[in-house]
Amino acid sequence: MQAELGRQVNGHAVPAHYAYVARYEYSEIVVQNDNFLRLSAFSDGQQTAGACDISTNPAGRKIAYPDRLGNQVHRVRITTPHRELVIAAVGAVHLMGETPRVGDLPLASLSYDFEADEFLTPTPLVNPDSVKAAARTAAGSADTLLGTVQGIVDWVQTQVRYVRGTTSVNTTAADVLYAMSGVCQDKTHLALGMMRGLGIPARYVSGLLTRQAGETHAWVEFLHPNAGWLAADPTRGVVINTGADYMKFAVGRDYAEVPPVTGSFVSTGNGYLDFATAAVFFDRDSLSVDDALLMLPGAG
Amino acid sequence: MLNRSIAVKDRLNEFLNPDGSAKPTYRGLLDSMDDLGPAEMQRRWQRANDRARRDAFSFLLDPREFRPVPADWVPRLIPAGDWDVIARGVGQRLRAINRFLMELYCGDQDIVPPDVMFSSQYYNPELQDFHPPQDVFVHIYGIDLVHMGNGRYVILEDNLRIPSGITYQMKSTEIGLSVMPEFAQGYDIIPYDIKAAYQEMFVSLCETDSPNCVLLTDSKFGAAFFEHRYLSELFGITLVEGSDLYIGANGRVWARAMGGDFEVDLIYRRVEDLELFVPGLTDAYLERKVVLVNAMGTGAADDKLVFLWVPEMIEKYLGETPVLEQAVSYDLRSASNRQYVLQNLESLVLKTRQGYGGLGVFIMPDLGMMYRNRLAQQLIEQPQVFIAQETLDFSQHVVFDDASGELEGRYVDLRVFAIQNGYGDVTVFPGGLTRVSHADGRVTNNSSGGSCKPSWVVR
Repeated sequence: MQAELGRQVNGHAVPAHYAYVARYEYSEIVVQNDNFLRLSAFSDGQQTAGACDISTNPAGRKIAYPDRLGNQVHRVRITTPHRELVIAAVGAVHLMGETPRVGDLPLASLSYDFEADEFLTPTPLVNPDSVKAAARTAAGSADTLLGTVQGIVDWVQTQVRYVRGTTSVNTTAADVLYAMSGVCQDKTHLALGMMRGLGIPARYVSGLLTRQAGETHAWVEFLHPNAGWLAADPTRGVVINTGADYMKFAVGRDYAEVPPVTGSFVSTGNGYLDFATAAVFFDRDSLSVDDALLMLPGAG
Repeated sequence: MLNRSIAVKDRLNEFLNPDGSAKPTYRGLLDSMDDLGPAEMQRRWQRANDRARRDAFSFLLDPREFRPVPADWVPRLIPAGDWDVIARGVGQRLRAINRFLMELYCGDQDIVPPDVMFSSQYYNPELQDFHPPQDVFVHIYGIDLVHMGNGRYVILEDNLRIPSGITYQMKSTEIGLSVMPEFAQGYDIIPYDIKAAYQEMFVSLCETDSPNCVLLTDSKFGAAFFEHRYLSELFGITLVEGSDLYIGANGRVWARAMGGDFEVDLIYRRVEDLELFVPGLTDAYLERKVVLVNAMGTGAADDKLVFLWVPEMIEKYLGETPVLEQAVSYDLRSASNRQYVLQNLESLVLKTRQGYGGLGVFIMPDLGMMYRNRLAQQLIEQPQVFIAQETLDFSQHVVFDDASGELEGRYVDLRVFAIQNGYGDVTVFPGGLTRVSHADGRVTNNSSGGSCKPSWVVR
């Protein structure tokens, strides 16, 4: 059986530039702020990362390294006292824009290397057993890999309402199933938990929607035994056919491994994210962190 | 004669043979103990315990409650030949780890994967390319060993952040010898001078011959405050809290004092988050206005995962073969190791990478089913948080139960302390600190409620 999903897009890699800026406010002086940024484009068969530049205000010492899953991490440690922190990132990326032709496989025949185990097992935010029954309902009569993934994606897209402000970074897949509402991050946790529950290795992707940026997006990648990792977006109902519409920052077992910005600070007060936005440009030859800073409210 | 029947059982005991007789090294000591007899031993134990209480010889687990460190006064005897091997192995390891830290911050280390090092909360990016005074990161080093019998010692872990306990090594020996001098009869105990070695180390790191040194404590309610106070008095340096230090207009570190504030040349710090205790200290340190012992950034090598690569550091940086073995350990970032560890979990030890003082150490064979299942679940969810180690069936020693007047068997480990000064000399203090487990377990740390006993290296 050969099911073909998505349209074949003619053409070559699409060059793009992205910009991200975030501002954090603190109620008291912060004397040390140690942040891990996953704001560099991921490199794989679907996209190739170009140069990336990161800047913070106040400035700190920076170091870059690849993590265990191949995500490029920038660590910035700031020891200048501050009450406000601005993080800006810009980068170049080539998006393949081409939809791979992928053969379908019977679900019962799937077999994976033990390296894939960590994308089948529970994580702190995703316990596959807790959403397995719902996964069977969502998959319906589908008995193939692509059919099952499509069933889960469609079910989560249509059944789980998109509602802001009711969930947090600690919301689990089981919580989402109970509330039947959430944002892209929550839909992603639920869908990848459902896939894992049915024996399909799945991981969390953090990135941007290139045609409607503004904020970071999240979706799923599932493992095809022959074709590798393929995209599935339970917020927008898109499977495999992501074209040049998606730009990937990082992948992980769940959100906790891939937030765009995570870290810790030393202060007697509290901190909160005051503002964050992102944009993708197809018509620019270059982009600097100053361009990213112009996206702050009141700038320019 | 002391009843030793329950101490023997079927375990490897350093002191006793299965028939209740003493091992050759311990014959003289057992004779002295039998000569005293149970009743006199009980009286001596009472005196030694009173002395420990009067000296406030304590390790506070709960700041609201004073509790002396429980001690057993039967000394552990380490033959000088065994000690030579331990001392060489510890010194070698200290040099290799120091060199690794130099390569990590100022060179291009390629032994430990970058994600392990750079994601560590104790790695300081601002220290890149900064050479600490005399290129010494590790001034004070604590290493935990266990004895497998026949002089074969195996390393369990390295302590590089703010290793504590050297006071307990000194105090337990001092009190034991003064209350039970008979125990030393017939033994030639190798002496050592911790005070002189530390003072020389402080001077070797400073540009002046009489540096102003302070000991920075976390608080007088901290677990190791007894040690902080004892060592500051022993070394003749000022004991300060974070709020006593500030950065002066000249960029140097100043200490508040009744008789007038003074400039500080060296901070023997017993806190990890320096910037939290003394805002601006990082900059003063980077501008070489003050020396820190241990150097800033040393904690990066304290990650229990880094332990796995120390033998490679010894081979690569020193061109030597490791003198001491270390416990077989598993990096759970690898899928095949995860598979092996999950399949063999009931026979392994799990340790959290950032744990210390016995916290976050789980000896699976000694745990109940419920607890084991919960840890297995946590291991599946967050394998990167742990390392796994083979469980070792290490040695027991005897303790005198002053309630029953009998000898009992207990697991013991050995924490050895070493220091490195600015002239490149490494001193390993003979004997170390023997830590004794509870009656029912193998965890021996003071933080976990274990007790200690004097340890002598004997010729």
